[in-house]
Amino acid sequence: MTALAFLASALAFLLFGLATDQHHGKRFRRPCPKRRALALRATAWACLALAFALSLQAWGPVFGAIGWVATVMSGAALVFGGLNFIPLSAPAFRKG
Amino acid sequence: MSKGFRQSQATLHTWSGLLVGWVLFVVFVTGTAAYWREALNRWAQPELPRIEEPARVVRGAQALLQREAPGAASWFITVPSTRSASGSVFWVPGAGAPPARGETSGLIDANGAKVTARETRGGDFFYRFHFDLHYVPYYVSRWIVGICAMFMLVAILSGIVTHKKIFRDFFTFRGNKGQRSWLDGHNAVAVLGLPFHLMITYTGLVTLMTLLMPWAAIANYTDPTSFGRLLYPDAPTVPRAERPAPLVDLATVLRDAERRLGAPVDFISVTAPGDASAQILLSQSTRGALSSLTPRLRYDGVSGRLRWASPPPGAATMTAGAMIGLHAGRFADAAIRWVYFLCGIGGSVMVASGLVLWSVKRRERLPDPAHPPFGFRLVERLNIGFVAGFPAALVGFLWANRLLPLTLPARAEAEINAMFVLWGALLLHAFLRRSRRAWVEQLGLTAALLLALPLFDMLATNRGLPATLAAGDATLAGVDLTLLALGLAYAAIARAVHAHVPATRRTRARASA
Repeated sequence: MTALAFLASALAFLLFGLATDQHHGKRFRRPCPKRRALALRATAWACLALAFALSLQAWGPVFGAIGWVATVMSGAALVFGGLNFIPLSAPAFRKG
Repeated sequence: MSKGFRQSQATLHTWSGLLVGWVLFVVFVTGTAAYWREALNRWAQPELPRIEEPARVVRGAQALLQREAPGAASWFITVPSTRSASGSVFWVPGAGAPPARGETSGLIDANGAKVTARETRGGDFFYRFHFDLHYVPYYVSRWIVGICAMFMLVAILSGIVTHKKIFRDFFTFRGNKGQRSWLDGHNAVAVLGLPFHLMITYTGLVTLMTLLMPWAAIANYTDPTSFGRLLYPDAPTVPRAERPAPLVDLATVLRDAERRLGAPVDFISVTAPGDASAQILLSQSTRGALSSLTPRLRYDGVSGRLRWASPPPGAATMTAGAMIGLHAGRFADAAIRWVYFLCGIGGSVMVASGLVLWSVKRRERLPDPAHPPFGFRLVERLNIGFVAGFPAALVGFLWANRLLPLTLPARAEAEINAMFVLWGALLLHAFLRRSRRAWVEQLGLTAALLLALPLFDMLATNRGLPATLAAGDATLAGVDLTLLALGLAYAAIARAVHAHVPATRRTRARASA
């Protein structure tokens, strides 16, 4: 359950990250279309909500809230590192 | 929001951060290490066997006390957990008893036997240093740390105002761009760990609140003890009966108390042991409870019956207790403890990168980079001595734990002195060498010290990494693996600084090509 909570938060931030023009462009060589960005962000919020539910399951009501914040911070940090430091297999898209 | 306001906040952020940054860095680093206080305590005394059954330690403690201090006024027993290095006892000799010959305390190992282990402060050193520093009276250091924490809160809040694109630049990192990369990095560790940084700074101030803001208590209570009694009510005292009666088995009382509390107990005190009026007070451990102010139970020492339970705390006391608990993270299981530790590293990197950013930003604007003004040089050298030198000195403390002779008098203090001597030498080194060389050498030294420590343990102790992994001892193996990982990280940073070509030299090289 704990691992799933961490995974759901990391997935949420991966989707948030890919919804930005900068990282969508880097990975898919084109800016993120508006509707896709909306869908990505909506799924990301759903993942954060899922992570909250999983955290409550894993740690109980008192520590669950703290545990959720822990999953959010570590998910965001993991994705930040991944998006910025995992090298691209194809040349990056450049805006402008 | 006007530009003037944001600019004023940026200035406030820069100077509130710089002025106390060095103290904040050492407080952050030692606080981060203190999340592994118990693990480091175990690491620091490799001769002690691992505790698997805490009740056995308590039985051993009772046997020892009954043998060595039967007529004592009171006994105190720390109940270890499976993460602790050992249990310990100390006692207050009874009135009229001959003055204590020798020790009035002892260490109890996993088997309940009295042991002598190497004298060390271990992980407790990091914990105490975090708010009491060293060589300074504790109230002075707590004022220093408290004022710095206040500045930290100002720096965090003004930093949020200054960093206008928190969400838009959330995932942004522009590498190899000099000052811009430093700023992106500083923003990233600050924003990613923001909930932690805000929580830890605010709750850190709460732990010191009665020292920093004593006026409400002074104005309303003439006697400070009556205020304390109101906050932490104690069981009524029982006069000594002066009639001998055997003490009940403490392990049985411990089991009953833990069942009633629904949580482990970490401290037992016995008043008038061996007398018909004996009382046993048990305090619940903060492991598994958010509040650091945990309930206590008192049992009759002869019948073993429950006599008193501490009343439930008021809302304000509970809030303060929960905040202090949140700060210390004693409730945390392995997963949350790791996040605490990584956030602590993030906070240390945030302070360190902020300090370095101050000089990176000004270096680019220096009229004569070969002869920077005194203030610039001072900040740059202090940055090296603190950011690179202090962690090296802390690893030096761990090395002193391994290398100092076991029979050395005042050995625990000698370990700490060794750490300060090394740190002093590194501060001096930072002022004597060229700045880039000093960075590389000190970061490289930290890496070497970190990487060599687990190797030394493998050769010189029977608690090396292969042994602890084979025994499934995740705590000790975790310490060694963390030291290795930190060593590799320091080596990578030292290498990057060594290979780094400053922006000015790069443009010159391009121009001449």
